Amino acid sequence: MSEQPGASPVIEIDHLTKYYGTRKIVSDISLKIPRGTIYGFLGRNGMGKTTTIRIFLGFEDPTRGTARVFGLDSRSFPPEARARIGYLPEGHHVYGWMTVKECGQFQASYFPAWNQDIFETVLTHFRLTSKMKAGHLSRGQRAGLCLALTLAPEPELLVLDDPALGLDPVARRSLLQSMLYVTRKADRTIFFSSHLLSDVERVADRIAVLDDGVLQADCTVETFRRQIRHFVLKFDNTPPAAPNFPGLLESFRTDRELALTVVNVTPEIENRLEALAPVSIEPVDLTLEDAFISYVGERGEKTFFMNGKEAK
Amino acid sequence: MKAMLWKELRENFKWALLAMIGLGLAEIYGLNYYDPFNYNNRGLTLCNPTFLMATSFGCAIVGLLLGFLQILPEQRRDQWAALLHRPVSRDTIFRGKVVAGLGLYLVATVVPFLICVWLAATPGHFLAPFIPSMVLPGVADIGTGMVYYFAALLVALHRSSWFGARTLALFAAVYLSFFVTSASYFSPALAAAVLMALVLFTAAWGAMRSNGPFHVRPWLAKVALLAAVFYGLCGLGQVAHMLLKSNQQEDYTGSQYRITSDGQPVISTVNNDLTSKVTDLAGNIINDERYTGPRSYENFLFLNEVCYLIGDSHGYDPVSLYYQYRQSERIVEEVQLNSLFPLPVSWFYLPEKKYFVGLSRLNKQPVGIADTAGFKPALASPVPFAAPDGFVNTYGVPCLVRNGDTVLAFDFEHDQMFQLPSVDEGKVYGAQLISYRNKDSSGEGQVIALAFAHELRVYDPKGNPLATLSYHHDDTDHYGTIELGVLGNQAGYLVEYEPSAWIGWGERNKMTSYLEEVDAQGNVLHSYDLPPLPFEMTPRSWIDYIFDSTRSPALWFGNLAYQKVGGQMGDKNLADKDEAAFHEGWENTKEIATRLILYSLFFAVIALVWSRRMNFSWGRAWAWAGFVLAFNLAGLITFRLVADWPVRVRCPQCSQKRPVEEERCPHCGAGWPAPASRGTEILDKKEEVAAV
Repeated sequence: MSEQPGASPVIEIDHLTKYYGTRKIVSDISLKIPRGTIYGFLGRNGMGKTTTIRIFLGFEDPTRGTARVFGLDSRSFPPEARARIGYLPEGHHVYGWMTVKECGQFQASYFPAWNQDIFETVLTHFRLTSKMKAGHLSRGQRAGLCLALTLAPEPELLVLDDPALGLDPVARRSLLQSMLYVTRKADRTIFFSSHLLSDVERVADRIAVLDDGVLQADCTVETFRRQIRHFVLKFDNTPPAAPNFPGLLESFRTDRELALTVVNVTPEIENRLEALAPVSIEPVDLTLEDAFISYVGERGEKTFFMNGKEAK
Repeated sequence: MKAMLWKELRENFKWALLAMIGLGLAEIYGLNYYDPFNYNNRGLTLCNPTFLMATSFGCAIVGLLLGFLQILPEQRRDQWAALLHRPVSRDTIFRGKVVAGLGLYLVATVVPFLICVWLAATPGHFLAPFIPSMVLPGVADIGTGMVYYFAALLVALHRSSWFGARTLALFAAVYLSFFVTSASYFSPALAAAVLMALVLFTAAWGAMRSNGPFHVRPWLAKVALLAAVFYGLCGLGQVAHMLLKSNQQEDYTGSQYRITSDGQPVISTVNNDLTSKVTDLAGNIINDERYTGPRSYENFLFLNEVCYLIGDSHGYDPVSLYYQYRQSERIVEEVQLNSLFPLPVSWFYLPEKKYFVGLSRLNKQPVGIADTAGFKPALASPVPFAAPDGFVNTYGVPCLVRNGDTVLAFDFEHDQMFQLPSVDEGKVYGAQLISYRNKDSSGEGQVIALAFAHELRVYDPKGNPLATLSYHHDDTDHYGTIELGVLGNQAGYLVEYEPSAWIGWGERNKMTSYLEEVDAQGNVLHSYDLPPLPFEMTPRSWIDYIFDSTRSPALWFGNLAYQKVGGQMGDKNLADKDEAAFHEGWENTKEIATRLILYSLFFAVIALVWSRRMNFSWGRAWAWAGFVLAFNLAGLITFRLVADWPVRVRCPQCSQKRPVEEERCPHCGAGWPAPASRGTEILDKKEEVAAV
């Protein structure tokens, strides 16, 4: 998983903006996805993830800005380029009247580099047989079939839009394993959106976070986790209100504690915390999920006082 | 494409099969439906109005359903993306869908239609002869159904901010249906269906290729979309016009000449179908219950048209005027006899083959033919009546058929035929069997009248001459419509000279007609001039005014130019229309032209101002204004529905509205500000990104 510095990225999004009517869905996003990375695309519902994917795959035109895949403009995306991209849209749509085998045959007829072994391997992994009717499959099996159809052409770029949505943990794990299977070749790139942070943590090298259509984070998983820190400040008395400084994501006050989640902590911020004169300051490790929820969740102070029966 | 074809066929075959069964049942029901009490519902087998209702509505519904079923279920956003995300062009996907869809459509519509053709063509099933032309209305309906198929594709594929704009494609198909069902001839109907199908197909292809915007479509698809929306608006306008007019009662007052049973012409003034007064020709009111009461028609004598022109036809085509290609009367005329009880054999005249054929009422098998040589067995070789333009009178006994310069009279009650005047009498321009009511108790009588170039000849039903009535108006070219009435007990004849049928309505309404009462020797007993009478409609309604004023100047003036050029190239019909537009109807033409120009200019200015306000470039604004100038109000609406209407938001710099697509504000030149930093961004350094 390495990219020569200066090599062109697989996906290159430049100042991309998209409006639906007068509503801005995606706002001035710029993003480069290097070859060979597994990129998690995160954000709450309706923040513009699917729209961004649809734009760089050429299903929507951007209002402003450009999107390029393999250096090709998404507005005039040639059909041949699609053979190099595996796309698994949200919802795992299959033609219900086809059998699993027919689904494979139908898909294979379009892709010259169709790898039947991969197709069958993924099917086996999801315990699918060729005679099963696609319309009768469970959600997990349908996801498996879709993934098999997406992986079998051996795409250079795999774009998955919330692939694990609605799947049980076993199916999710199977899906992840299959996803990793495709990256056994070093130059394969995966770009996937998801709400399941544990999955992202397990497989992604880097993440991009969209909030309100604006790109808020573009970094490695480790950087993301490292940059978001949680402190518990203990006090003898009722803690003071949280100070207002840039980077404060949320604060939570109880009778004797003030918990703060802060991004991009600087020595100046640490000084300001100490200036509150707490008995102690305990840094707490956050999981990616906790960090993400704090990052894109509601901002501001939350209080919970038992003695004053004040709750907010 | 093969895979797409296979998928589409597999996916939609069941719907096509269901449609085929449903349509087949409806068509067979229509084929067998006969309502003897509904005169308007007459028509034989494949021209039976109920059958044609099944084919016209059925094919349209099948086309629509197949078109929608091919696209809409797959149009849920991500499923459509999954379909498109293949290493083939969208053209290939579209082609696969259309080839499969049309194939299924043809299976669903042609198979049941062929079964009906077989039923109609095989003797023994229906009491009607089969003529190949009878299939033409059905073929036109199948062609029209294809237009609905493409309309459904366009509705489903075209992305528009307002759903109503998408449905206009359906109204374009409805507009075509109006044309196809009212056209006189088959070929223009089919040509129109093919053209409209091409327009909608091309527009749907453009919609498939585009992600929505108009400006990125191929130019041919742009033109097709404009045409589809324009004709959709025309269809919508036509439907609206019909609905509005159906709720509006048109008052009219008019006068007409009528002839009393004594042979006196009077002027009867009618107000909304009720006779308000009757006067003599001098204007004196006649207070006679017989002529003003609700059953007054029993006391008037009706004249029968013996011929509608004498000499040059001036391109006049009565067949296209009275019968459309969808009416079986144009292909087969059933002989109507006056007998109280049905005869064992029904006779039919075949205009294309020019002879009669008789079918047994019992087993519906052909039992005989009647031609120039008289009555023959069914299997005998027919000798058709002589060309060129025969007329046939298929009502009563005998039936009269022109055979070259003679007239043959067929008595189908007794299987007898005789010939009326011999060849040396000259060309016959018309023949009519005329009934009259005797004044005594002897009931009704009948005579046969033949119109020659200079005289009418009257015969009894056996062919014995009764009278020769010379014309007293020499200009038979302009007064070639001759009507004849017989006074009771053949006491005399009434001959009316009216303007020839080829003369346009505008001119005819200014011409005086003449009525003469003559005796059997042809002596004129009385002569009357019948100048044109006023017929006053109420002022035209606002609905008509709006529809007239908002017609497309491009099409209207184009039609005038077509008539002018066609007329100069020798087309008599077009020359007559050109003459009517630029001479006798010049005032009307001028008034319409002025109105169209003023209205379309007004709307073009609106389009220009509107588009500039919306920050269209001058080039685009002028182009749209020109389009609106050519197509009037429909053009303006098309402009609103089709153009890429810019979304505008307030500029953060100058607070004026600016298009979101443009990088710079057209008012202050400012770019778009970057999203405000929240101070919470986590962005790796570039070097770090490249080194992953």
